[in-house]
Amino acid sequence: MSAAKKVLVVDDEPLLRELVVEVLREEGYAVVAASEGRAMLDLLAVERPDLILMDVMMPGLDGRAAYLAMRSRDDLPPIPVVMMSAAVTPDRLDPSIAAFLRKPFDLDQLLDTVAMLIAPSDSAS
Amino acid sequence: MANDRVASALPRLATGVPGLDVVLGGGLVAGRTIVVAGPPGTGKTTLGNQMAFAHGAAGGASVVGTLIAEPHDLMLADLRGFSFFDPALVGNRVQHLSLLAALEGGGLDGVIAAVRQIVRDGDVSLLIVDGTSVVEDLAPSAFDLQRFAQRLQAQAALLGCTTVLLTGHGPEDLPRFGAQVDGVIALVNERSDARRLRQLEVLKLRGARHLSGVHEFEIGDDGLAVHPRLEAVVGNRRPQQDPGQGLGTGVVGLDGMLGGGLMPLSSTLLMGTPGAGKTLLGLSFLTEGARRGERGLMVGFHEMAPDLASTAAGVGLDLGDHIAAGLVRVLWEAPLEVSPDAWAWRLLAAVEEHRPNRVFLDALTDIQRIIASPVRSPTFTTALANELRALGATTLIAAEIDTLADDRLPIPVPAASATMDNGILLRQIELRSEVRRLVSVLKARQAEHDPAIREFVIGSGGIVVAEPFARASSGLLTGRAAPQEPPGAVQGP
Repeated sequence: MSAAKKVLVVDDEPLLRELVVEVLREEGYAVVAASEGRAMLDLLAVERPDLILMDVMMPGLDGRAAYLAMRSRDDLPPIPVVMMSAAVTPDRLDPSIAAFLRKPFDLDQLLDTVAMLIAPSDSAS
Repeated sequence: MANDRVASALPRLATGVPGLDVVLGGGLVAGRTIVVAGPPGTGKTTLGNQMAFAHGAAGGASVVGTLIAEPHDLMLADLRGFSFFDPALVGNRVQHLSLLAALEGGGLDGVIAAVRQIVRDGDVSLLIVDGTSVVEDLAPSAFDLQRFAQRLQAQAALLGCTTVLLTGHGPEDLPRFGAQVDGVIALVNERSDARRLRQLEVLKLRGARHLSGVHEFEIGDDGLAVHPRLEAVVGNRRPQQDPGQGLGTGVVGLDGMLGGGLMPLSSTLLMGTPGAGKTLLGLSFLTEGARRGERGLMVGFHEMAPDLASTAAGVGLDLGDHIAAGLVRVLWEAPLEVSPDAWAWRLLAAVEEHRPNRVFLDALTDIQRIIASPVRSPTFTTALANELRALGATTLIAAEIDTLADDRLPIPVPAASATMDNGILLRQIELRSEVRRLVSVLKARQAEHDPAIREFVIGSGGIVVAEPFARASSGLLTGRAAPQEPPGAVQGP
C-alpha cells in the first residue's frame, strides 16, 4: 500500500486551519500545518509535503515572501503551492504558483483543487 | 406583498416562512450560522422544521439534528398537524438525526465532527440543530462554548451548509454564544392584556440588511407566519399627485366644498361622531367611482357586503350591483385579536390584486384599537396611506370622534392627520332639541376649499349638502352649538 500524499496547510487563522486539516485527513491525506511563513520554512527542514496550501496575508513572514524564500532554496524539490486569500487577487501573485483559491472557498473547491494537483495516495492516482 | 422589497447581494436561502425572508432582507445568508433564541413555547422547533421541510420541498437536503431527549417520533407526530409536513420528505430530503450520542461520546468536538460527517455524507445544505442550549449548559467554560460556536460557524461556511441553532436560552443569555455567530433571531411570546403576543426580532445579521425592530408572528395550521412591521417596509414612496380632474364623492355639494372633488391619489381623513354619516359618505364615494367604471375596495370591520349594500340602498346608492359585478370588493375582518400588520398586508395584497382606483377604510379607529402600542398609530397610518397612494388608490379613511360634544375639537390620530391631503369633519349637534348633521372641510391640499360649515342631510333620496348652517353662532365643530339670536333680540336681565 502506498503512502498517503502529504499536504502542508499554512494559515494564521486557527479555526480554518484546523478545519482544513481535519477535512483533508478525512479525505485520506497526511497533513501537517504551520501558522505563518517562517514556521512553514522551518517545517520544510523535516517534512516533504506534496502540496502546500498557503494563505497570503499572515503576520510574520507572509505568503508571498515565504513562497519566494522557499523557491530560492536549493535543498527543496519543486512543490506545488496553492495560494489562498480573501483580499489579494491572483494577478498580484507570482505566476508560477500552482493554483489560487479565493476565500471564502467551499469544501468542494478546496478538495477539487487539491485533487487536481495530487491524489490522496499513489494507489488513487 | 412585502416580498422583494428588500434585497441583498449575498446568496440567500429561502426560509419557507411567510414574511421572514422580508425581515431577513431576502432570506438566510447561505453558508452562514445563525441562532434562534427563545424560551420554551415560542415556536423554535416549529420554525426549524418548517425551514427544513421548505428546503427539502424545494429540492435541497436538510437535516434536523437534535440534542434534546425528545424522541423523534414524538416530534414528528407533533409536526403532522402542520401543512408544511410532508411524510414523503421524511428520511429522504429531510432527516431527523440525534447528536446526543456524539455530544456524550466526544463532547463539543464530537458534535462538530458529527455535524461535518452528516453534512458531507448527505450533501446537506440546511442544518437545523435543535436543543443547542444543552451544549451551552455542558460547555466546560465560556471559552469552550465560544470556540465551539466559532468552529461550527467556520465549518458551516466551508461546507456551504446554512446552519440554524435553536436555543432555549433567552436573548439575555446571548452574549455567551450569539457574539460568535453570524446572526441572532430572538423569539418572544408575551402577554398583552388577556392575549399572548408572539414577536420576532433580528438582533444581528452579518452580511445582510435586515429589517430592524420587532415584528409580530403567528403560528397557525401552516406553521409560522411573520408579519413584518408595516412602516419598516413601506411608506417611503409617495408618487406625484395627478393635478387633473378631482374624483367625485357622489355628493355634489361636498365636491364643491372640496374645490372640485378629491384629487386623484390623495388621502382623506373623514372624521366624525358616531352616526354622523361617515360610512354612508364612504359608500357614496365608492358607488360614484363604480358608476364611472372605477374599481373600488371597501375595507371594513363591522358590516359585511350584504349589509353594506342594504345600507347604501337605503340612501339610493346601487352599491350592491357594483359589488355583484365585481367592480367593488369588500374586505371584511372582525376587529378582534387581529395583528395590525397581518391585516395591513392582507389589505395591500388585496389592493395589488384588485388594483382599485378608490379605497374606503372604515375605520382607522378600529386599527388604533388593535395596535398594541398607541405611539405606533401615526407612523402605521402614514405608511399605509402612502403605500395605498403608491399603488394608485385614492383613499378615504374614516376615523371616529367618540365624544359627541367637547370643549375642543378632538382630532383622532393628530400626527397622521398631517400626512393626509384632505380633512373632512362630519358632526352631529344638538340645537333646540334637534340633532343635526353638519359637514365642514378642514383641509384640502392643493385646492381652494369652502370654509363654510354646512348642513349634511341624509335621506332616502341620497345625501345632500345644504346651505351654510346659520342657526347657531358658535360651537358647531365641537358639538356645543349656541343658538344665534335673531337681529334685535334683547338680552335677558
